[in-house]
Amino acid sequence: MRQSTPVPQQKRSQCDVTDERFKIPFKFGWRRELVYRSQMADTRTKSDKAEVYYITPEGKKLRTKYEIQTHLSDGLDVNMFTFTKDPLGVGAEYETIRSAKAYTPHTQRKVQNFLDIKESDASLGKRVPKPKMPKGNSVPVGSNSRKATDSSSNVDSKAAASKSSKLKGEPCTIQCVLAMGTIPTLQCKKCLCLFHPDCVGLHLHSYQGSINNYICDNCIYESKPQSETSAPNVDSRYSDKVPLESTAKKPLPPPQAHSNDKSTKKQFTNVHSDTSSNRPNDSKENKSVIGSLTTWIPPTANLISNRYQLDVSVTPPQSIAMIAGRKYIMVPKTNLMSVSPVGRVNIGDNNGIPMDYVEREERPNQNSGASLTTGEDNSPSPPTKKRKLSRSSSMAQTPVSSPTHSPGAQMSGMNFGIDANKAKRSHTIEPSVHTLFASNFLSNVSIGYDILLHTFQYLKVQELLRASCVCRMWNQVASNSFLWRTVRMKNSQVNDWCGLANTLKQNGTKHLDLRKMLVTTDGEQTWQQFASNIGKVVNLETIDLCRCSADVVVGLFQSNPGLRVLNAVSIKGEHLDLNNLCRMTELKELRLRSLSTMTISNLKSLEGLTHLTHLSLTSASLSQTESLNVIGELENLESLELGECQRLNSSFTVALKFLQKLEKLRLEKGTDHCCTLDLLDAIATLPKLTQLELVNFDIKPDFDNHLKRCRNIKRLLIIPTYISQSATTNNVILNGILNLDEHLEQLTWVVTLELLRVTELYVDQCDVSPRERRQAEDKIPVLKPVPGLSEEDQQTDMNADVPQVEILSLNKVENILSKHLPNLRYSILKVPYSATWRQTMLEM
Amino acid sequence: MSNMIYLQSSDGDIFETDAQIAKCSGTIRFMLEDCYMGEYEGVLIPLPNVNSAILRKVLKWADHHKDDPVPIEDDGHSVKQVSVFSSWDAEFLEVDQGTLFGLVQAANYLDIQGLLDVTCKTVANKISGKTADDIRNTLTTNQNKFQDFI
Repeated sequence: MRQSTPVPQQKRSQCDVTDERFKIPFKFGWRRELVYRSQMADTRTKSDKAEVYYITPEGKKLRTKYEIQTHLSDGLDVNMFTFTKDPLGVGAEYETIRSAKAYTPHTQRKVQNFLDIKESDASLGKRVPKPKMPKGNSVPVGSNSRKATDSSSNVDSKAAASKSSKLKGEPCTIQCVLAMGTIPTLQCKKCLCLFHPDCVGLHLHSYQGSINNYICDNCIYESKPQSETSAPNVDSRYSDKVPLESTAKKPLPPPQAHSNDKSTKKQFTNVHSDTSSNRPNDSKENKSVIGSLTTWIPPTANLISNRYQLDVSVTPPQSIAMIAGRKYIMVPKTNLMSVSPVGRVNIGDNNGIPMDYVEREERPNQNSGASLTTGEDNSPSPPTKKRKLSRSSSMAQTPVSSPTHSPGAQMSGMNFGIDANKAKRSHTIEPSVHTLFASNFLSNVSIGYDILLHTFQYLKVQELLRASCVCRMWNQVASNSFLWRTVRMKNSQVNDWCGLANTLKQNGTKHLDLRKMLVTTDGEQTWQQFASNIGKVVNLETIDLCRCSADVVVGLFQSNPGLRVLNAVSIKGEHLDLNNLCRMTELKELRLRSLSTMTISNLKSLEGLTHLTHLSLTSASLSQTESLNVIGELENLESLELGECQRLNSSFTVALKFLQKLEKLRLEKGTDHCCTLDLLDAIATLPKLTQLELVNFDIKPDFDNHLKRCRNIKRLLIIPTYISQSATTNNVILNGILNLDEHLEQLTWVVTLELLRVTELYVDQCDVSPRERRQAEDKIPVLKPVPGLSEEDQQTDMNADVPQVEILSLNKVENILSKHLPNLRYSILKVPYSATWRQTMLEM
Repeated sequence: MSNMIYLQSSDGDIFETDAQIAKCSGTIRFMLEDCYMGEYEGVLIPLPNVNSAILRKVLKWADHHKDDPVPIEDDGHSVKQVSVFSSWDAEFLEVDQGTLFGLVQAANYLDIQGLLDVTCKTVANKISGKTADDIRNTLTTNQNKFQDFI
C-alpha cells in the first residue's frame, strides 16, 4: 500500500501543463479558473493549495472530471482537461488566475453576475424572483423604521449613528467610536470581516441568535447590487433571507433545530439556561418595549417592516417576557421556523386574554389569522386584521414569501419525498411551493424519513417490499434494519422461499414469526422450499413456526444451529426425533408441542444445551421417562413446562432438585402414577422457584401437608382433575392454600364447568326447597369440616341432609380466602375441562 | 385545579388549553416542566411548526385522549396491529391527505406518541394492499414532481 500511493501523485505533478491537448477546450468556449487558497498561500507551496474549475460554454462551473464528462461536446475528450493546480498559460481571456483572499470586490461581483446569468439561461426555469415587497409598501419600510427609531431610541439611535458615521461595510477596529476599546467579535459569514455588534446596529441581545449567521451590509450589497439600497434592508442581514434568494448558488443549510425532536429539545434547553440567568432583566425590559410596540404599529405596516423592527430592536434571544401579567417565551425571529411576530403583537392586542380554541372551532378554517382579531376593534391597533389579510394576499401575489409564514412551507415539510398538491391549499403558485420545499429540503426530508420509518413498521412484509419499489427514498427507508428485525408472516403466503430467505439474510432479520402463515394446500412443497432455504438466514435468532410437520422442526435443528429461540407449538405428527438438537448449542428457549400427543425420542440430546433457560415439552408423552433425568443437566433452566406427567417417578424428582435456578414450573396431567407428593417435596427445595402451575393434577389426601412445605411458592395455579372425590379434593386444596399463609401472593384456582354441573345436579336431588328460591349460584362440594370456616357455620350446616359434604358457593369460598389470607390476590376461574391445558397463570 | 396554558400556532393564533391535555405532547411537557419548573399557569408556548388548523385538530385529539393510560415503552418487538383503531379515532382521521400529513408532522414535532401511531397507521393503511404505482397515484397528484424523487 505504502509504495503504491505515491505513484499516482507523482504522475499528477508530472502532468505536462504545456501539452497542446489541454488548450483544445478553450477553442470550444470553455474557460478555466485557478484559485489559490488564501490562508495557506504563504506557508505552503501554492500548487498544493489551489482549486481548479472549468467553466462550460454555457457558464456552468465544473469541479471534477466526472462532471466534465457529462458536459462534453463533440470533439472533446475528458483527457483534454487537467486539474493540475498550475496555470496553463493560455492567457487571461481563457484562464482566470486569482487568490481567494486577494480578489477585489470587482471580480467577485463579476462572478456573481456571471452566475446570475447562468441561472437565468440554464435550465433552472423555476428560479423565483427575489422577494419584493408589495407595491406601495416599500415607502412605509423607511417610515416605520424611522418610527421605530423614535420610539425605542436607546438602541436604534446608536445604530443609526454608527451607520452614518462609518463607511458602509468597513470592518470595525478597536478604535470604533461606538465601542471604543472593544475587540470586534461579530464575524460576517461571507467575507469573515469582524464588526462590533453596536456599530452595525445589532442590539446586544438580538444578535446573539444570529451571531453565526451574520452577513455584513457589504456582502448583502454585493449579493444583490441591483436591489434598492436607499432603505437599508436590515432584514436580509440574517442569513435565513439571503440564501433564500440565492438558493441556486449555495444550498441552504436546513434549520437543524427542527430536524428532529431531540435537537428541538436541545434548543429548549438553551431557553432554559438563558432564562434562568437573564430572567429578571429581560422580562422587565421586554415588557416596556413590547408595551410601546403594540401601540404604534401603523395601519400601513407590512410584515417585513414589522419583522425588521421586532428583530432588531425588540427580540432578545429566547427569554421570558411579561405581558399583561402573563409570562411568554420570546423566540428570536432568526430562524426559519420561529414564530411570526405579528402573532406576538396580537398578544398585547388581546390584553392577554387569548381565545379558547373550542370557541373558535366553528369559525372558518383557514382564515384563522383574521378571526383572531375580531373583537379587538377598540384596541389601539385596529389594523392588525388588515395586516394579516394583506400578508396572506401578498403571499398569493409574490411567489416567495418567508417560509415561516407560508402554510405551503409547512405542508411541504411532510411529503414523504413526494411533492404533493399542497399548492392548492396554500393558495400560492406552484414554483413558490417548490422553492419553499427546496429551501427546507434537508429538514423536510429528514422529518419525512423518520415518519416514513414509523409508518412502515405497520406494513406487512409484502407491503414493505412493494413500498420499496415506489421510489429510491422509500427503498432506503424500507430497507432499514429496524423494520426487518422482526418479520411476521401472519395472513401472508410465501411463494418464493429462496427470495424471502435472501431478503431476510440481507436485512439481518433476527426474528421470523410464521404463526398463522397461509400455506397452500400443497404444503409439502412449500415446506421443502422452506427447509432448503431457511439455513441461509444465518443471523436468525428466533423462529416461531406455524402448523407444520415434525420433519420441518427436525430440519431446523440442522439448518439453523445458531437459533436462540425455537417455538414450534403446533407440530403435526406423532413422533419427534431430537437427535440433532444437540447441534443447537446457542439455544436458550425451546418450546415443542404437537396438536395431539407425540412421542419424543433421543431426549438425551438436550444434554448439550447448556444455555437453555426455558424448556417446554407439553403434549410430549415422555416415552422413556428415565431419560427425563437429563433435565437435571440443564442447570441454567429458569422455566420448565412438562406435559403428560402420568409417569413421572421419583427419579425425575431427583433430577428436579438440580435445577437450582428454576423460577417457574408447570406440570400438566399429573394423574395416575404421578408422584405428586414427591414432586412437591422436591419443589420445596428449589430456592428460586416462585411460580408453580399444576394443571389437571389428581389431588390426593396429604397433598395439603406437602404443599404446606412449599414456602417458596408465591404464585400458584392449580387445576384439579375433579374426576372422583371432588369434595375431598377441594377440601385438601383449600386447606393447603390456607396453610401457605402469607407466602402465597397470587392464586388462580380453576374449577371445571363439569364439576359445577355435577354439583348442581347433586343439589337438585338433595334440596327439597322450591327451585326458584334457590340462588342460581355456582357451587362446589367441599368435604367437611371445611377448612377456614368458623365453628358456627359448620354447626348450622350440620343440620343439612348430607352430613359429609358441604356445598359451598364460590362466593363463600372467596370469602374464606379473603378472610384468612387478606393479602392474597386470587381468582377462581370456571373453565371447561377441554380448555384447561390452555390456562396459564393470570396476571393480576 | 386548572392549569391553563396558551399555545401559539405558526399563524399566530393562540389556543387556550389545559396543561394536562397539552402534556400529552412530549415537546410541550418538556418545556413546561423544565423551563417553568412546574409553575406554568398562563404561559404561552409558540409552536412554530404547527398551523392553526392542525393545532386545533391535535388539541381535539388530545382532549379526547386525555384519560388514556400512559403507553408502555415499546421495545419494537410487539406486534404492530394495523387495524386496531377506536371508532372515534377512525372518524377523527377521516380527513384529506394534506390534513393527515399535517397531523403526522405535528405529532412528530410535538412528540405525541399516540397520535403519531394512529396517523402513521392510517398512512400505512393507505399504502397497504397497493402496488407501487397505486401508491404513487394515491400519495401524490403531481406526477411530474414525483418523478424528481424517483
